[in-house]
Amino acid sequence: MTHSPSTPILLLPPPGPITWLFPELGGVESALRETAAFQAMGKGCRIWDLARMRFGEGGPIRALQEEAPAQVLMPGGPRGRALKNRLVPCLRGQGIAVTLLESGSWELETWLEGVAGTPGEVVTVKVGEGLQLRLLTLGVVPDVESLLQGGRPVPCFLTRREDPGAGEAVETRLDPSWWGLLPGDRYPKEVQQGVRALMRDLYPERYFQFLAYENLALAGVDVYSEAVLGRFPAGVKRPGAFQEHGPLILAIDGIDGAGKSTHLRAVKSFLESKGLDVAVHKMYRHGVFHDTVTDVTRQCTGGKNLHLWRLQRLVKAFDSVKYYFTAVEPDLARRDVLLFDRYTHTHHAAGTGRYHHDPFTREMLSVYPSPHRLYLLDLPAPEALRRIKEREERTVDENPYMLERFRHALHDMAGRCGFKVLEGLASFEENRRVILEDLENLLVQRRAGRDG
Amino acid sequence: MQIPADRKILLPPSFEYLPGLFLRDPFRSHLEKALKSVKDVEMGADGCTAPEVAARVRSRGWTSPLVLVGPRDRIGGRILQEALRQQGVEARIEAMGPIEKGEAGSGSGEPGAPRVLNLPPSAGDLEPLENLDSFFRAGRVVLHFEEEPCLTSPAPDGAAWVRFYRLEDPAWREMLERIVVKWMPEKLSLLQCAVHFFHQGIDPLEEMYAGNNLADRNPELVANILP
Repeated sequence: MTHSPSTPILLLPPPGPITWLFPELGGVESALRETAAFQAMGKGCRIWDLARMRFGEGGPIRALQEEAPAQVLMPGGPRGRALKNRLVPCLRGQGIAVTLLESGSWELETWLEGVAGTPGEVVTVKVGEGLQLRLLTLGVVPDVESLLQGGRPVPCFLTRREDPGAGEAVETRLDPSWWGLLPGDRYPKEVQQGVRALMRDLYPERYFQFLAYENLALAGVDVYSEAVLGRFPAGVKRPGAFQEHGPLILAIDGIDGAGKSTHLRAVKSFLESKGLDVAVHKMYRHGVFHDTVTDVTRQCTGGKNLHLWRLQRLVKAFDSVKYYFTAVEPDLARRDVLLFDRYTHTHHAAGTGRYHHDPFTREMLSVYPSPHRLYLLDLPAPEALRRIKEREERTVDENPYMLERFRHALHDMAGRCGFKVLEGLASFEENRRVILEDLENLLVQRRAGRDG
Repeated sequence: MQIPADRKILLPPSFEYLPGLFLRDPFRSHLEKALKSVKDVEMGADGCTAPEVAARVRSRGWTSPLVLVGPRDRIGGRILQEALRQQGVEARIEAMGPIEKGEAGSGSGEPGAPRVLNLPPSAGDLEPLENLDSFFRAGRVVLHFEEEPCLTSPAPDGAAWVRFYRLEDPAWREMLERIVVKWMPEKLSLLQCAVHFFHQGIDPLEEMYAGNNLADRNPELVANILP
């Protein structure tokens, strides 16, 4: 059966994080889709139910680009909004309008909003044939002992509720796909802590899953739309293609205090002694830019605005992309060697180290070509801190926890990306000897490659 | 399975990335049964992070506890061992298992428990899928690989859970997706999320067990830049 592009596609979002954590809710949505309201909504549309369709490489985004309907309709609930946020930029300029419908009672979230009771009380509701659900609306710290009688209820935050304690409306300020799972940082601290205790008491076997979602949600990461839309289908792009005939690209990486700058100077003078034109680059800029980003980070004090951790990371990554086009790209065309004080891997380690997941940053930084060689100066965090203390300027990452996390992340990448790892505790002379020997070989190989 | 009854025993938690889609680690049920007669034991099922467990162990004055790990628990065991070390408690890891073939479906006979679909080692052996219609129609189903992948060498950090669902194998990922789309569509996005974690090389549950939650770590993350 062929379809005219003018027939809209109705995109139905699959279950989201709240259902991943509480599969009990999966049956509710199936039952709601049997209703007349749902049937009426789909009239005149081609229905793409993302839970029942398999897409090839590129996922639903590419499928929509190829199908090129004039209009894509989506339910107006949280999951629809989350998917729309990701779809619109991907479909821009292709004549495909993405429109949200009014949210309907056949959507899980809308239904839950409708049946929910007073915060802290359990409501038992029947849905469809033989399905009964005990629902606990959150917003106050409930009495766990009484809740455990009669079976474990499904706890759920609603988008906006009156908080009897504070006497004013509070809301969950998170990416829409995390709907229902967390209080967000605008709820009182005791509610946030109470939810954790409640989850651990009610569902200890799901507690780490809950914490993982909490971590990603607070950091502003939306794995739902990333995963469902196949935003990064085969993982993030690694740094761009290895440049066989361009300049030699070298980098020295490592945690603060590992001794990068000292080695950088030694490598530069060695290469210049060979008659090579060397440009040194530092993609992590200091000064006003750095101070401004640090000010953003300070807003995270007291557990508030944790999403700004992600914002500061994105800002730094954008700055490195900007630096690439203004400083690195011109040098790729005219220099013999580009020598980097840290490379994109420091960005990756910072994202992974702090909130464990950062595909967008990696994708953005893929403009940078793969280095021909990256030397990783590996140093234990306590020794790095001892060295750093001798400096005047301090950065946000100079603490034992973060330095060890960076080190771990860089180590992890070393195996996968083929870094040359150097022992940071070894003498400068020893490491210098290893690096320069390796560089000699590298230069010989490149000359042989060019001559051959 | 021989468990020394006089030892203080610790178990790391079971990391279930695809709950409800796959059978819970059968070795875990086995181990828990075997430990019923042991007096001093931490089952790792109360949702406590490794640093919390380690602090509790220290306050109880347990010395030289034994961390028992099944084939899927090695990373958890190492995380717990490190947390104990930070509390000044030296623990030894004892690797158990694997259990015998055929014991995997334990628990499936209990009332209300889902039926177990034992998956063959090769994706090609599951064809044609149509034959599974009646099995899935008869009630709730969970999947299980009867033959656990053989980990002869220590798994690299974080790779263990991926191996036990065989997500590294593109043919299996495709087969799994076909099964889920056809008979368990409500689980598709959960599977996609796990595959996404695999592609990104991240292990969120292990991170949480190690106590690396952003909300908990935030105070020390901003300590350096406070006025």
